[in-house]
Amino acid sequence: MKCRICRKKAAVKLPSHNTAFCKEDYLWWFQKNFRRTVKRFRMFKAGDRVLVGVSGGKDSLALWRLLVEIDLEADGLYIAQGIGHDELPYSDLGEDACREMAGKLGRPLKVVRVLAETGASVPELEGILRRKICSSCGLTKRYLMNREALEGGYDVLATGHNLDDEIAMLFANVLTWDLQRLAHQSPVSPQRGPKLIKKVKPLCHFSEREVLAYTMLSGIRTMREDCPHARGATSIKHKELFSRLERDSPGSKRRFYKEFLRNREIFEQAKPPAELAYCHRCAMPTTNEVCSYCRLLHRVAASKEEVHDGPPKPRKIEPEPASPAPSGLCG
Amino acid sequence: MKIRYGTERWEKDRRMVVWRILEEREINPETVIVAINGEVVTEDDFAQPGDDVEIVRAISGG
Ligand code: SF4
Ligand SMILES: [Zn+2]
Ligand SMILES: [Zn+2]
Repeated sequence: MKCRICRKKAAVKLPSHNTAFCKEDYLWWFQKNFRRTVKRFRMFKAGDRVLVGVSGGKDSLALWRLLVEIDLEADGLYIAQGIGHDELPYSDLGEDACREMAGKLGRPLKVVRVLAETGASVPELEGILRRKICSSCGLTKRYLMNREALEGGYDVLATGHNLDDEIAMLFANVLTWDLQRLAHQSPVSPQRGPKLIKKVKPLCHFSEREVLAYTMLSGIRTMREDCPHARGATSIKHKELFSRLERDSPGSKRRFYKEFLRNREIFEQAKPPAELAYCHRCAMPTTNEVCSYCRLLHRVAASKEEVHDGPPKPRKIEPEPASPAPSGLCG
Repeated sequence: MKIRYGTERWEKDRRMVVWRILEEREINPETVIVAINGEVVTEDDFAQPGDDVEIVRAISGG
């Protein structure tokens, strides 16, 4: 197989584009398409300060580097969830990879620890809230990223969601016909009011495999380990399902997503965003009186008092709070 | 050749095309990138005895 551009031996075959590239031309192709997506969705304005949510994985670290390469003032934010154990210190490995990238790019990295913020690590939250771990992980991540972006005076929050993440989310929303979530899913979520920062997903048109090839070919060291709680996750099953479809019918993933984007206004019209109120405790945006994050803080504090007061009282299991996007997708 | 895929390790002692290595383990090429001796290759490339083959899984998340 030969490179489409220079006819040298190809390093990456892209069946969905019916083409193949050598290392140099793949990197060129990737950067060109990245710039095209950023421009097409008007993700940034000149002079924007960008906060990148980094996890230490391939997507977010690739994104950070690409943003710096297009001359944006892009800083990293790592949310340390306290996940892992001696054999697989997942959160520590992620933090190390982010610190290494920060050093290489010469950009600051801010680390926010869920334990210090809430009084419990993400795995501890699972026990306290009796809710799936990915739900508390997603809730704390979303809240802290938005808060850090606002407090740091950033204009945009960028995350490394790729095409497979977007499709897994889209498919889950279509399976339940969750119109609100379908209306909310977009490569760009504009700033809403003074306290909900603009969010962008500049890698949304690249598959996970394309991003992985980019990091391997450009020598970016990333954390290869998966979160131990990701095992058996529905989003991974959906990704595998779509990858089988993609193998038999190259381009299916891209088509599914593109056609959704072309038609997503239908969902927006059917479900316009709910009126935002502000949390009575922390003044951050919410659709309730008290936001889910403050309710989480309250539950953690109550659980600590119970420990001091004697044996825990039986607790009612609360229903999952309605959130604007599925919480289980990492990145 | 020595082959790595996540925590799995196995060996082959003959020249093999990459897609065949993947097929034997029912690995969908759409979900991985393969490197031979640290060099990214396509599924049509060949691995020789003595080579170090790394199959890196692309799918992640929770
Ligand atoms: S799989 Fe993702 S969302 Fe779930 S706990 Fe791990 S990092 Fe958090
Ligand atoms: Zn070339
Ligand atoms: Zn609040």
